[in-house]
Order: sequence, then C-alpha cells, then structure tokens
Amino acid sequence: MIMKLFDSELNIMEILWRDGDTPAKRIAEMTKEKVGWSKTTTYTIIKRCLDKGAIERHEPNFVCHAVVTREQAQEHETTELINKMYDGAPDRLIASLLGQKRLSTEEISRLKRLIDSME
Amino acid sequence: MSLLQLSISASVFILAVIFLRSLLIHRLPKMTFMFLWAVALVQLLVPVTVQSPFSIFTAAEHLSRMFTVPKLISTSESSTFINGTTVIMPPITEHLTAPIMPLETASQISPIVWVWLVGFTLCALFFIIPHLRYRKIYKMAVPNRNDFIRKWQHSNLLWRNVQIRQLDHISTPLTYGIFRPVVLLPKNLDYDDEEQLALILTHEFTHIKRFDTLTKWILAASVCVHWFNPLVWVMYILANRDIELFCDETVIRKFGENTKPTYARAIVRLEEKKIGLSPMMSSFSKNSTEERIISIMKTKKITIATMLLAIGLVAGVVTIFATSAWDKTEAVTDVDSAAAEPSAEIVPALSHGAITTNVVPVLSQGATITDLMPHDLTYNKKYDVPKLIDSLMESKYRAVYMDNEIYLRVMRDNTIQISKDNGEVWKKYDTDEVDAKDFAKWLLINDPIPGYSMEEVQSRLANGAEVNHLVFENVKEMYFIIDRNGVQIELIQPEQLSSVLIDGQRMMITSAISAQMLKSFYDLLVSSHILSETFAKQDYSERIKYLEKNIPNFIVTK
Repeated sequence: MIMKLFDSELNIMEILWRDGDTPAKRIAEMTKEKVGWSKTTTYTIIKRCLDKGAIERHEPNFVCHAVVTREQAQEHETTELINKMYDGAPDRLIASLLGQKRLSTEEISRLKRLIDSME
Repeated sequence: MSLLQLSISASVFILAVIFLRSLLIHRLPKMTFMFLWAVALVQLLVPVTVQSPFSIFTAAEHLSRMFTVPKLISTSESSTFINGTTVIMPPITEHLTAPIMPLETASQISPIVWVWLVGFTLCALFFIIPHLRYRKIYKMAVPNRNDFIRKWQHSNLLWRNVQIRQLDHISTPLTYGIFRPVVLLPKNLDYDDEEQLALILTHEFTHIKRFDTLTKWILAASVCVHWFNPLVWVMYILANRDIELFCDETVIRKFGENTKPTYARAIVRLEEKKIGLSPMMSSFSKNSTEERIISIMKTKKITIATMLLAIGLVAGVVTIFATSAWDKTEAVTDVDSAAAEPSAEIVPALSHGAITTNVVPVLSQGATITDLMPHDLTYNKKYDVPKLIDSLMESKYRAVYMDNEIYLRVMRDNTIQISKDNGEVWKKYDTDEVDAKDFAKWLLINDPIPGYSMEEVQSRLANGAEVNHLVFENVKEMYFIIDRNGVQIELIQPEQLSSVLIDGQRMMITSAISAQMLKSFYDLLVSSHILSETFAKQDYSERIKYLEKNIPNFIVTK
C-alpha cells in the first residue's frame, strides 16, 4: 500500500516513525517548537492523518500510532493538489475572475513567444 | 446622500478610470492607476463630496437646464439656514444599523434595506469563508531551510517580522497576514535558481511593505457595500491586477531593465506549473497574464514628460469625474477660498475648506451640534412648567409650537392650525394617520429628538394613543401623539431649526433661539388666551434669565 502525504502530514509521521506511539498533546508540543505550528493547526493535521488512515488513535490520552510505514509513504505532487484545494470554495469564482486559472499549453508557449518577440 | 447616490457618482469616475486604463495602462507609471483607484475607494466608502465648477455633474446640470423649463421650487424661509459650504451626510454606518429616516419612508424602504443587508452579508461571507479555509491550510506550512533565502532575508529586514515558509498545497508564491505577514513559497519551486528566488522574494516583500493585503481587503469591503453595482466589481478585478502590475514595476526598477525578460519568464514558468488535469482555460486569465507580461516588458524609466502627463491626467480626471456639481450658493459664500486655492478641488482631503461634516450653524455661527440640542425645561423645578401646561389644558388648545417658518396650534378637537405670517392668518391643516405600533418601533430605533421620556411615550402608544403625521415642503415633519392626556409633538427636522414648543407633556426650546422669538412665543400664548398678560411677562423674564445664564449660545436680539 502506498499513501500520498503532504509535507505537514509527513512532519507528524516523522515523529511517530522516530519515537513510536506518541500522545497528540506531546506531538503538538514538539511541532510547536520545531515547525512553529499552533496546537489547533497540529490537531487539524493529526485529524487529516486519521481520516486518511495514516495513523490510528488509542485511548487514553489520544495516543497516535503510525499505520503507514516510512516505505509506504510518498510525497504528494503539487500539480494534483491545486484542483483539490480549490474545489468547492466560492473564492474560486474570484480566483478565476482574477485570472488565477490554469493556462493551456498552447497559451503558455504563445506567452513565451511573446516575451521573445518583445525582448 | 444615499448609498445609491454614492454608488452612482462613484460609477461615473470608475468608468472614466476604466476607459483611461484601457488606453494607457502600458504607457503611464502604474502609480497613476493606483492613485485613481484610491480616489474611487474614497468616493465609495467615505460619504463626503467635493464640489467643483468643472465637474461633469455641473455640465450635466447646465445641459438639463438648457433643455427643460425651470421648475418652480417652493422656497421657504428655511433656505436662510442652508449654509452653502456644507454638505451633510450621515456616516455610512448609519445605513448599516439604524437608518435615520422619516417613518413613512422607513417603512417603505425597509425591504430595500433588507435586500441590501442580505446581499452585503452574503458578499462578506463569500470573501471571509474561503479566506478562513485557506488560512487553515496556509498555517500548515513548514519552515524553509534554504540558505540563500535565509541570507536574503537577513539583508532585507522589515520592521514587521516576516516569516518565509514552504507549502506543498500551492503552486505560486503568495503572502498573507497584514500585521504578521507570512510569505509562502510553493514546494516545487526551483530553489537552486537564485535569481528567480530573489525576484520572487522582492515581489512579495514589496507587497508587504505597501500593505497590499490590507488594500485588497478594503477593495473587498467596497464590493460588499456596493455589491449591487457591477462597475465596483469590475473595479475590484482591475485594481487587484494593478496592484500586481505596480509591484512588478517596482521590482523591475530595482533590478534594472535587463531583468525584464527573466522576470516575465519566471511568471510564465509559474503559470506553467499550474497546468494540471483540467484543460479548462478562462479567457480572462489569458488576458490578465498576457497583460502582466506586456506590462513587464514595456516597463520604462519614468521621464519627466510621462510624469507630468500622469499628474495632469490624474488632476483632470479627478476634477471632472470625482467631484459633484458646483453649488451656486457656495460660489457666493465661498468664492474667496475657491479662487485662492483652485487646486483644492483636486484632492478630497478633509483639511480643505470646501468640506465640513458639521451640522449647519443656525443663528450663532459658532454653534456646534450639541449646542443646538433642544432643552427640555419641563423638569426644571424652579420654573413651573406644570403650571404652564395646566393653563394650556384649560384653554382651547392642546399644543403650541413656533419656529422660524411657522406658528402652529393644536385645537382641543386635535385639528391643527398653522400660520405662516406670524399669527395673522391661521389655516387648518389635514394630517394623515400613522400606525401607532410602527411609530413606537421607529421611535425606539431613531429617537429623533431627545427631551421626552421614552418609557412614557411608549406606554402611551401601547395604551391606544393615536399618531398623526404632517410633512412640510422642506421635509420638516411632525408627529402628533394624541390621547386623553393631550397632545405631544415629535419633530423631525432636516436641519436643526430654532423652535419653542409647549404641549401636553413638556416645554422645549432650542438653544439657538433668539429672545425676540421667545417673546413672540409668549405673545402667541397671550393672544391665544392661554396665559394672562401679567403671567406671561413674568414667566418670560424668568425664563430669559435662566437661558442667558445657563446656555452660552443663547442669543439675545432685542
């Protein structure tokens, strides 16, 4: 099984792979110092890992356990993510109005030619 | 001026800027358009107008006068109280919470206000919800360990502490946060290309230095307030693009003109990375990226000629399109300052003489708003107003009112008599009835004139008091609250008039009243057989003494 993980999620996983099972509270303390995340941000990321099935929680104390091994984890490729992230957000309208949509390959090469011609 | 008027007059200016921009965007320094958008924002969000004889609205007035038969406008004496130099407008917030408007229009307009509020809320959520969602993701960024970036940041310190972090969810660099700005770099950026990194960081730091995030929020706020105006949306889009263009221009100035192709290519490269699964393409984005590339490639040194052209253009456009029509009365009263300072019309700064947000002084030139507040003399123990009211209730009348324009009496049968010639001829006036419940609600919100007990008025209204209403030519209004205890008058005046009033509940007086007027009031009480001549004389002299002593703006004119 291969699982794609974001940098933020990998940060949590690193801790679990290195230190073994760790309570969420302890993870938050570590990420605060190391990465500069607030407690809420860390908990949000832990929740995402739980939803993905990358980790499991054990009571008491919300102890996190890595389900995915280091070998099974893979970095996400950015190009796929943007679609996901922009989905369902009303801001997408504004983004597209402002021209933050993707350009086609032909458009890109046309723009490159434009720069060459103006140089 | 209503929100709609504000929106319409700003629209004319926005149209002019859009037109200019389409012609000259690649020819003038980008600063020019930033300034013009700033003027548009002020027009949209600050309810103050600047008058100019060269305004397009002055021209429009001339034209319409040429083609229409002049209408006879009923001029009342109140015109003496309109000070030509002043434009009074309620701050916008009043529209948001409790619009101060007469009851009749209030009940008519409320659906519109509701629609506006719903639109405003939806629009605000439209901006805020995605922002909060994105922020949550932005917070997941991890620190950046790149050596070049660390060194670069050390040599480009700002007074705000800027964090540079890395995020794998984004494909183009971005900056968020106004007071604690964070620059987010995409993970897939080419971190070995130091020239590109320096360009990107300079670009983002320029945004931070200029508080462009804040500007973008103000632009969003103007869209929320004027959501019904499509031109404001167009402005929002174009101004956002111009913020980028202005930033690009600054970066190129800093790095020199030969970085133009490198910079333009870097932008295309970032665009290229965005190409994903969906081949969908919006024509708008084609335009904006292309516009940006052309703008970068065409960036030139600012010469004195282009500078002068830009300044002249801005001055011209602002004078013609961003000012309101020239008011003739102002031309008379304010001619000196206007002649001495013709440039005063260009910049809508509060310091210029043409704009004041004060309420018009009535009789005393130095009077401020609070000076003109009505004084309720009812509860002044020393002067026996209850006795005065008793005499009123024993007479044929239920209320007597006087201001600079009219004398008014309410008869025992609640008919209303008005005299416009100082009590010589009295005419009966018809009123319209108003729903007491609506009026009670409206009073609670607007509380037009203090000086009565709200609790008492509300309980009278709840116990079946009738409410009658009268509107005058100059929008002055009166509400008559009638029950078996007599009549109570509530006044709504567009301008604060000097007035004296005695009704079943209280005696009220505005501080800017003259002694002459108070004397006339007592004469009226005598001629209406409410007071005996001796009692009136005594009461008048006592009251005058009190007023002179306690109300500094009280003017005695014999």
